[in-house]
Amino acid sequence: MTSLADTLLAAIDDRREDLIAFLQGFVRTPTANPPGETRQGAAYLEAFLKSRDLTYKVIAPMPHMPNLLAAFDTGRPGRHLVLNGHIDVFPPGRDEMWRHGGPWSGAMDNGRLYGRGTADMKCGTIASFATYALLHEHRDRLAGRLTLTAVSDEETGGKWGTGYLFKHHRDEVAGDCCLNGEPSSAHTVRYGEKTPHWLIFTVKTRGAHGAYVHMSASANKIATRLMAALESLTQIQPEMPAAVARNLADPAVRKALDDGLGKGAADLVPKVSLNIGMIDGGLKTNMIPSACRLEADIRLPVGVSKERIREAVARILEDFPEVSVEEASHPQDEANWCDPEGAMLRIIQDAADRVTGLRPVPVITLAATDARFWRLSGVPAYIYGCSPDLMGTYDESVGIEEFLNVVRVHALSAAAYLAPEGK
Amino acid sequence: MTDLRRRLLAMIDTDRGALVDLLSRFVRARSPNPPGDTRDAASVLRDWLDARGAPYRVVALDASMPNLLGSFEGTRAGPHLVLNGHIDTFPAVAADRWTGDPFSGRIADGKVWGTGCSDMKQGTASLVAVYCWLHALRAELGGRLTLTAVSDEETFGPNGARHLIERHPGEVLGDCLLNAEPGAPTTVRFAEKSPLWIGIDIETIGAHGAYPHKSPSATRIAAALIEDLAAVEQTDVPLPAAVARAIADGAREIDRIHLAGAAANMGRVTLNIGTWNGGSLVNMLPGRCTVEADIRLPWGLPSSSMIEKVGEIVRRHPPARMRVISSQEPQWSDPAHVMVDLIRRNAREVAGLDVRPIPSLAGTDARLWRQRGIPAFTYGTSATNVAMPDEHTDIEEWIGVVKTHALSALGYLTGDASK
Repeated sequence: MTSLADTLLAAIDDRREDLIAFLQGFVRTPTANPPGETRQGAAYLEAFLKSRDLTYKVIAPMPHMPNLLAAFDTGRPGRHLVLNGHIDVFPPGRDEMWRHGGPWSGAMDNGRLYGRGTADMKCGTIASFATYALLHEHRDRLAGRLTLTAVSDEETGGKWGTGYLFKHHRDEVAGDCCLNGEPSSAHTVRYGEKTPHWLIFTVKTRGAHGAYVHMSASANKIATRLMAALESLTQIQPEMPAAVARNLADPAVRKALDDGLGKGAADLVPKVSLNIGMIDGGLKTNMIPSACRLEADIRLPVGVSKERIREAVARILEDFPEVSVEEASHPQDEANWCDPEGAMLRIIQDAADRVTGLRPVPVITLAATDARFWRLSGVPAYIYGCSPDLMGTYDESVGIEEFLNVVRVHALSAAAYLAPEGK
Repeated sequence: MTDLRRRLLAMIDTDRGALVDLLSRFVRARSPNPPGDTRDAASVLRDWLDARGAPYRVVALDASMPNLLGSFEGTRAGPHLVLNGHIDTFPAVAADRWTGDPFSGRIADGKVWGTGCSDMKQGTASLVAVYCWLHALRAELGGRLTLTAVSDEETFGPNGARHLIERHPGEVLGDCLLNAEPGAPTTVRFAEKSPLWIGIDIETIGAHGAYPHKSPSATRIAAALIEDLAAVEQTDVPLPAAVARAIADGAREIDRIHLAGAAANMGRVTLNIGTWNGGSLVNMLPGRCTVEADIRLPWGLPSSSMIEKVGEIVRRHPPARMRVISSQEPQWSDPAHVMVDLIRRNAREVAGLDVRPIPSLAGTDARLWRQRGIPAFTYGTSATNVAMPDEHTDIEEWIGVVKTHALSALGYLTGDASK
């Protein structure tokens, strides 16, 4: 009997044009968030499930942002794998800037498919749907349970998407492992991510006419001192889990990070980074500024909790009685990771190696995804998808063969994870 | 006291009620700048001038911002004194925190209340009245008296005193300027520090905020630059001896009026980072940042040397670039000038005040005369709640200032000047 992996790869080859058309149609359905109206996008995916008699439910706490949830049980005991992707995409920007017929063209040129969200992450979400449908066809050769989740509120924080599913349908969506198709490039599997910690500092002083510098402290001058003091946050050393430390010391991992994210990225992954993204002080040249607002984007590595930063910031602010601070990011999020030496990681590496000839290395990344909901619940979550290089640009696109490879790797990985004992 | 001085003081006493009413009506005729429409307020002054037959004409570059220019000669040779006040005011601030309407012109508790009352409708009203009284006495005077009541002072705009000096210098420069901006009736201002406004622009490539290794941060460069700029406050200043002496002699009064620390700042360079803006989103590494600095130069320090010094600091922080928004030279008039002497003597006589010549931290239109080499002096009432709710003028104090203005102008035009 042909192995399940061979069967799946053959099926993908047979249905190659259907799969491309499935992605193209999805790209042609606008789902920009903001504003976040994704009903058309969800309906498109529902039609795919309906045409295959796959049952699902719609969970829509916000009517214009529906989430889809589908699952099947093989009837044999085993592990529970959850596939996760999002329907919403970044806003398209200015239509005329797109060089391939606008943000929703789905135009194909020279082996690439263009449009907003192709990379982030319609390629990955379609891979999840294709995987789910394929494995359902072959459920008699699998054990355990497979769940499919497609959410509508990833780009703006997840409160009405994956966050909502975890809050209200946790037993259905947590599972034993999550596979997600966010962009990663064929060179890496993402097993963890730093977390953004956004702080808005407000400096307030009395203010005065600019010639009377003795009459008031300057909010801007205090802000410069505050910026210098905040730099000390970048010296905070993480309490790194041993497996993560081993991973980050691996030269192959360091090379993959520097190659993929720019030179210096490998050094940055285990560090607290600080970016003063916005500064806004004073009204007029000749007035002593009575207010200065400073917005800091602090990225916490695995091993540094938000609480630790809160305490460090509070200590810094003891020297700044004129300064107040508020958090603008989700207070419950933390830098997150799962086992970089775990079973599913090796499964993905093996599948990718077979499909692409590249063995992706496990990395922690700098950007946030919905995978954090699983990891922060103690469930491993791995990301494998297309290249992130063009995401968010006016040339956002995915290579067609690259997309099919993502489908192949997901299908093989999911099948291997749900393989019955002894197979 | 001479008969002429007695006659002048009697006229002021007779007109006292009308004068307070003039100030009240002048405040009610709102003239905030921006937007700077001063027609209503100017017509209150014109009514007063017309009723007394004093000569003047309207000079307007912008029809909504008229200036009043009046002049008459005495009956013998003598110096030319110019009076200067402005008609426009700051915009009304925090209307909800005023006790009454911000433009009420209300007369209560011995004070006149309203936006611009202190800065400087009291002073402009005083000078218009002085001009009329002395016009009535013109047969007894020498030289020439000119009145300039201008628009467009608050924003250093082009339509007010700048326009008169550029287009009618022969008429408005004169030999000496008396300006009535508020300050304190215990001081006469003979100099102003000079604002040097510098813009600094920083542009970097920018990046996503999670990738700070990909680009230098424009705001971080700006912060380091701002810290370095503080060095300009340490610049050695070769203060002219007369100015240094006036600051030392007036130090206690300067600190009393402008709060502790003012005297120390008077003779040195001060730096204010007025605005600082950078970035567009919290999670983007900012690729753009702009800083605007207000540097105040004391006397003896040419602006070119400070521009050079700032330029050196800016160049230490590439890719920061500097632009000069505005610059002028710090000017001073002789604190031993006869007008200072007249004001001191008259204030002591009519109000029992001990007046000291001091420089000023903030700017007035008087600088425009000093820039043309004309001695210019500012004497006015206390600055009370200027640009704040419940701005007002104390009537008793004001009448003392009005009398001091009148007697000093009279003295200047009758040869007291020579004493």
